[in-house]
Amino acid sequence: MLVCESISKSYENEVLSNFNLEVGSDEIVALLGPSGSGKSTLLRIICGLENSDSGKVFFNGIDLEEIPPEKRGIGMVFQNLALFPHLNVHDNLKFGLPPNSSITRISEILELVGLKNFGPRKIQHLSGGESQRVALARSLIAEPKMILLDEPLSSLDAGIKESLSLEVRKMIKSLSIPAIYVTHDPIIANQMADRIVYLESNI
Amino acid sequence: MKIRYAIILSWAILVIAPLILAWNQLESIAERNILQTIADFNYKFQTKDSISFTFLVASLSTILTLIIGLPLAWNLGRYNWPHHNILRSIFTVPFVMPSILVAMGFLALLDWISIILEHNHSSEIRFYSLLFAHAWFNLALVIRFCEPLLSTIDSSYEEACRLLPSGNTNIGRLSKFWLPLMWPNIAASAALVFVFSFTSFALVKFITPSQRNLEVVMSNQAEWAGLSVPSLSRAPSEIVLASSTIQLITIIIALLLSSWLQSRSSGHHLSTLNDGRIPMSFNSMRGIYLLVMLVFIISPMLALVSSSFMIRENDMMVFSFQGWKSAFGGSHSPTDVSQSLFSSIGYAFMTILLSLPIGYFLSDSIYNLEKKNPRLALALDVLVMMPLALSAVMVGLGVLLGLIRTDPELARSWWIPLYGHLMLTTPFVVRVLLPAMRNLNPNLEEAAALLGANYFKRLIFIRLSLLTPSLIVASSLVFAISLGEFGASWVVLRFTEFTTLPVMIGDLLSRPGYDPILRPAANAAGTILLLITLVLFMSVERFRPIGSGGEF
Repeated sequence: MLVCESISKSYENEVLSNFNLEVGSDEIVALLGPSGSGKSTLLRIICGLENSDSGKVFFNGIDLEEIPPEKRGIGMVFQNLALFPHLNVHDNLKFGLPPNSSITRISEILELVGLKNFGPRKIQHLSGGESQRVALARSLIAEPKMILLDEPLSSLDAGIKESLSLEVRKMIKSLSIPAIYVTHDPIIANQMADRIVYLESNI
Repeated sequence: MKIRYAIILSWAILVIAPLILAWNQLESIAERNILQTIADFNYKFQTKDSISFTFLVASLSTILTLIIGLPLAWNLGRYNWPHHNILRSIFTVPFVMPSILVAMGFLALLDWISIILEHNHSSEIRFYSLLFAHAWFNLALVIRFCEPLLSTIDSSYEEACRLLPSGNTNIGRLSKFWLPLMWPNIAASAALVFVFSFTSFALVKFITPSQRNLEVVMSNQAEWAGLSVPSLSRAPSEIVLASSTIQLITIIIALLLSSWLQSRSSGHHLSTLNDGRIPMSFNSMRGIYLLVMLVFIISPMLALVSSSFMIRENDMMVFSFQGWKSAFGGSHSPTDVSQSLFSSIGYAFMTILLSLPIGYFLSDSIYNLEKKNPRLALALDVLVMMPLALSAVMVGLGVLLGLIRTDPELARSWWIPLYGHLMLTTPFVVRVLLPAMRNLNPNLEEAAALLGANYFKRLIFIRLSLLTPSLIVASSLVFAISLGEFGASWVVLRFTEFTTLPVMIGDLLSRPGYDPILRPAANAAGTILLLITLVLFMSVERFRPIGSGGEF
């Protein structure tokens, strides 16, 4: 279970102010809100890529403050997907494979996301939907205890977006891990989430 | 984090300490302060007119470089030619050419012209040759600053211009769109061309031997300046103190101007990732112009190579291998080509081994500070670039005099040139790596961290893997600069037995008296250096993506 307690963060303006959030152990929460409302900032604070000005983040009762991002066991799918352009699909997934895991896990997870035989493909040769699936697969192969998704479908067409969001939900649910899905699209939020949290812009 | 601060501190000491020690040494020997030595500067026979000559040459060279370079940058940036990358490489290769080779190439060209016209070249012709040599050498700066913006600008802007009353003519578009857009890039490149022409050493020393710029003045006085023999070294110390101060102030002003102008450049906002160039063939007026420019670039190199096989006999040029025999036999120089080349390559490799990691950590520090403390990042950037604000001769003198001040025996050490090469090459490593780091998608390293990769895994598999092309470009640049470095090596190597190839060439060209073998021997050694530099540059240029540039 994830608990965010009184999180505040300012850059030039205050982005988050005393923000509180709880996410259940296998719950999918959608963070809905306009640009600049602090959705992505909150995800970055949860996974440790940024520090909050004040407040605490607890995961399964453990304060995450002193734990570096690579030790938190939280996966994230970035808005721009952040697939490594110099590695092919197989090697991108291999990067996320935990030590002592079998290499066959890569084929299994590729099959799970519907990209069987895509291993040797170059990242530049994937379509938008395929890239999104690889990014999700790379996060899942690391066996995260929680997954954060920062508008990963925003660049896709409406039709693909809707069908893919249902698939993503199904995959996350099959792993029984908590997830936060950031979006500004209420339809996608409805499809994906068990619960929707709305953030208002502070600008 | 601690390593980072240690490297910044070491760099500051490496750059600043020898200069402070050198100025201190010069002032103590001169027994006069800097202002007094500057006031007397133009009245001494060794330095008379050198300030005006330096400014005149630098200003005229800058104007000529822009006149030649801007149309070239336009044609390379706006049009896509057959074998475009090879063309671009040829037009930018002069910048990595050792300056001594450029001097030799233009001298050889002058020789050929005087033979064809049966008329010896006058000092005026030599002066104009110097200006053209500077333009040849600095052409790449104008191309690197202007061509990337021209080649990546979204074509819809010019199309929109065409449809509006102010932009429906070529002149209208040039004056109302292109010049307002490009002027910061043009002015920034002009400021740098001015700096490089102002600090030109080998070109002035060998093409116009009867005239002196500040750099040549300093080099001429280097033998005695700063030595503890007051009766002999007082006047040279005064001259070096004054010249280095005038030079440093002028260059810092020009570099600050260049940096400020670059920051005002707004053109990159209009760039796209697409290649916006129009296909063009050589079978056009533009094609003929480009071929003429190719002849301009290639002719000094061809003249150098061909002159290595010629020897002057009774006012006739005769085909001969004597120059090559002398160069490889060492009959007219303290060392032969193979020994000098071995030393040069050794110094170049050692320079890469040192300047690449130092340059990487300095770039990384600036990159990280830019997000947290931009002012401190700018200060560190200025500190890193400081050796570029000094000329090669000043760096050599600074290192040498600084060491003499510490321990005179150190001045004979084999690693002295390495010190100078490290100072002169590291800023280029930073100028290549820093823009490449800024272009990296920060999410990639963050994604790697969230996948469990620790600092070293992220460094090796993400950061360094993605920076590999830039690291290759930086290494080759370091290798080429170190291999062809003349000014600093010329000053510091006089105390040692380790002669590099450019120093051997300089020695052959500086021998008193007339010997018909000396020039062909120097040209033969120069041809070896030319071929190595060309092969290195051409093989590495393909790692530079379209639209890159603006820095180095």
